[in-house]
Amino acid sequence: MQTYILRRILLMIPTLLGAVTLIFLIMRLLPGDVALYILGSDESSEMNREALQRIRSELGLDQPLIVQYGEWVWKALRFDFGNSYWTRQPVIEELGRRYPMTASLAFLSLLLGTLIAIPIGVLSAIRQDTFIDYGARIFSIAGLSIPSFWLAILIILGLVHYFRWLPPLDYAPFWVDPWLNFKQLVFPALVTGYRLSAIGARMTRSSVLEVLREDYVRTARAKGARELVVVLKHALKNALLPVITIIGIELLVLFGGLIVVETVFTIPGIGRFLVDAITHRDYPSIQALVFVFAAFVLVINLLVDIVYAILDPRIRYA
Amino acid sequence: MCRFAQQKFPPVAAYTLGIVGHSWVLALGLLLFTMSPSFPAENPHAGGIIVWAVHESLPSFDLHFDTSYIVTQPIAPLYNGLITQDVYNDGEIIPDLAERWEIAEDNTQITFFLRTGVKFHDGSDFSCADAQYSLDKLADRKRASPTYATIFEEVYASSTCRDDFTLIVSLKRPSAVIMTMLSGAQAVMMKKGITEGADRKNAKFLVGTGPFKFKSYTPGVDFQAERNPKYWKPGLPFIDGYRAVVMSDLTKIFASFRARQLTMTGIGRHLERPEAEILTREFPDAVVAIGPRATWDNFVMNVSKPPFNDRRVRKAVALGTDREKMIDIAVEGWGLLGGFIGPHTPFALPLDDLKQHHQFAPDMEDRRTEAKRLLVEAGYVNGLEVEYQVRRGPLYERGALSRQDDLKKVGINLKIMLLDTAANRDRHEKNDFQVYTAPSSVAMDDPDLYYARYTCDAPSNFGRYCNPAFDQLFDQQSRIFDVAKRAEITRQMERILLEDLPDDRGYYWRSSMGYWNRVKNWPPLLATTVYNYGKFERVWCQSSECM
Repeated sequence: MQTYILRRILLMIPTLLGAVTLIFLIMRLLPGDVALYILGSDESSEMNREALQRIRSELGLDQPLIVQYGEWVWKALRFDFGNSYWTRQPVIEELGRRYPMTASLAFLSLLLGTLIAIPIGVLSAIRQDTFIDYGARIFSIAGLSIPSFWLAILIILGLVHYFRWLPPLDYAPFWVDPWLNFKQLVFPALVTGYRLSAIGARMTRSSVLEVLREDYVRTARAKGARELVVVLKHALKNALLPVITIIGIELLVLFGGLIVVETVFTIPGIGRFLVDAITHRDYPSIQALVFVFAAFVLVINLLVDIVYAILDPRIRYA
Repeated sequence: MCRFAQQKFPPVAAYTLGIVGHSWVLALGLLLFTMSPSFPAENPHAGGIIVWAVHESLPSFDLHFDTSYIVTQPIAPLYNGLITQDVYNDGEIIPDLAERWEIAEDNTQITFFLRTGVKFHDGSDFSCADAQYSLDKLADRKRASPTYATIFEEVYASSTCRDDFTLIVSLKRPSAVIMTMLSGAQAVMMKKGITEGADRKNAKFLVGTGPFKFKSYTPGVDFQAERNPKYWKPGLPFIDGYRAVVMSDLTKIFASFRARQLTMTGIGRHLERPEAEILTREFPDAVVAIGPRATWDNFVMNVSKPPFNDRRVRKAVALGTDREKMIDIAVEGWGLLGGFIGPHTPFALPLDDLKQHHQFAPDMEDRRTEAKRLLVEAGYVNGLEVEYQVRRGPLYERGALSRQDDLKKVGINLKIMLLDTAANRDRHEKNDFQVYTAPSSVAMDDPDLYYARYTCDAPSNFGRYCNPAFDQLFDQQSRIFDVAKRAEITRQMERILLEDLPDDRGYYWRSSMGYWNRVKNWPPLLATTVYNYGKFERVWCQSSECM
């Protein structure tokens, strides 16, 4: 197992490098650069070629691609992601300022998603083909079908229309002001958590249904165990394995949702930073974010595999 | 017909300068007027915080360098200019840090007499050296916005200090635009050496003499400022401070306003007609303000390449475009017909004159027939296909669709290509386009700013239009201070453009915003309110509550 983990960690290095190289090239293929933005995003601006050239030169954009790439990789190895072309602040500081919001939102989404998914999935399974089951299935199919940006706008409009209320404009990390943080993030988390709960509920339902037909469940019932004990202790525990896997994978998809939700709810997190960075062709920020996201994906994948092995001792990696 | 209260469309204020330019006595009169502001009968209440939305984080704190509204709106109240525009009086030019000024007979020298006893937020005294430094900085493309500096340095030669409170500005040539530029929100007086002493991204950079002081800035969240208790205008400002919140989504902005998290949707922005109707229907204490705006939709044709190097094709475009329909579709009726200069300015052709030109005639069928004839005459018997670059965004896309539909009827098939801002500008810079639409605007209502883009060598002349006769008139009008005389020339220039058609004007936008009626003494919307809105100097909130 240890050898397996070590090998996986070593394999992360070329994967990360590949992801960053790819995004480096893709971004440079897009027409336009940040100098055009610095000179003014509005058409009225007097385009001044001399000024454009000066800004490009200041930012190193006039260097050959290979030089730009080499410099970036060399600095990134020392965790120096450079300065944002747009905000002109160190990218690492920009990330540090924003990650608490995104992390809190991701955690809350995961929590809400899981808390909703498992009870609904179990209920749907043990009341198969009843109105409860139909309701739960409608809930989960809707969760998979509704785009998160649409749901987010609907929630905003609903809150304003019916309650004349919206999450506050102030922001605070959870450890500074938990109540403010909760008020700020609960609705965005519901949006992102809904999709997660839909997938989780569907997976829980099918998994529990499968397990409920197993011999050991029949044996538990034959022993006279109460239905609640049978479901929670014998069925659910074993049914959770694929659910955890799918939630792990969906956590990565969740980050895509966070980008949309942070933009619509105006949350100053990493997702919104990425959108702004792409709009402004802010290469250092985009590359750093892709690096962080790619590292995150790899770590999550590794963790899922490890948890899988812990939950099912029969699983061993070569 | 719009059912919201129309605000008075002002003549362009800056041009009263023409009178001032020849009589400093009048300038003194204006000074006296400014020093005794007329407030409403109710006594202003002190206190309250004004909150509004801007759609992006501030790229820097340097108002000389970043002149977009995103920077101007939150930063301008921290400063004063030498002169400013009276937003309560049609934008007339009035004294600010300069108590008065004199313009030399030959119009190439302006002497500013500065106020004494004015202090920067850090406690240091404001003097002529600061003003001189600021003007030099504004004319330096490395330290100021290249956009601004390009125009400013064309006119500004140098400045010298006769003493600590007398600044003499020398001009390269007589120019009416100089005073307009100096009264603009960007021409603020900074402390000498500030650029060399502090990074323009650092809050230490924000040392001004204005009614508000820097309080905090959180990128992606907000910019906050607080009242300057030692402001040189005693008793002002009334409010305790303000907060510009970063919100990129219009739905969120409007929702936040309805939830009373914002005092105003934006300054001269962020309110469209459907939302305005909701406000008037459901919120009796909301005020919907609309006014003119120095922003327009245009269809820029590349006259250096076929097919638009043929004037007949350009004319066919102008004839085939149904502007009134476009106003209905793109901005739901909130637009104005206009030619090549803001119709709200005294320099534009009156609408009746404009309608004498065939492309503004009401009979669309007749126009289409003529457009088809012109295309055939130009050799496009079977019509033509054109790649049409459009900047992404619902406002631009809706107008583009309307135009696409119109031009199809005369045989011009526009293939719309949606591009984001950077890609769009990249193509323009490389002259890699046939035709494009993007919003254009001027930060100051001056003919120089409207017309510079049509002069042969202008860097922003993306369409490559060139007419030496036009350039000659441009140079001529730029030297004239008298509004009426200048307008005679600018109207001649507009007639030339209406014939040559370097681009086709769709419509002029209107500025609009919503705010709560607790906010008192908010100025009427002018065409450049998004930049010049009076720095909250005389605005107050009923019972110190702004929402």
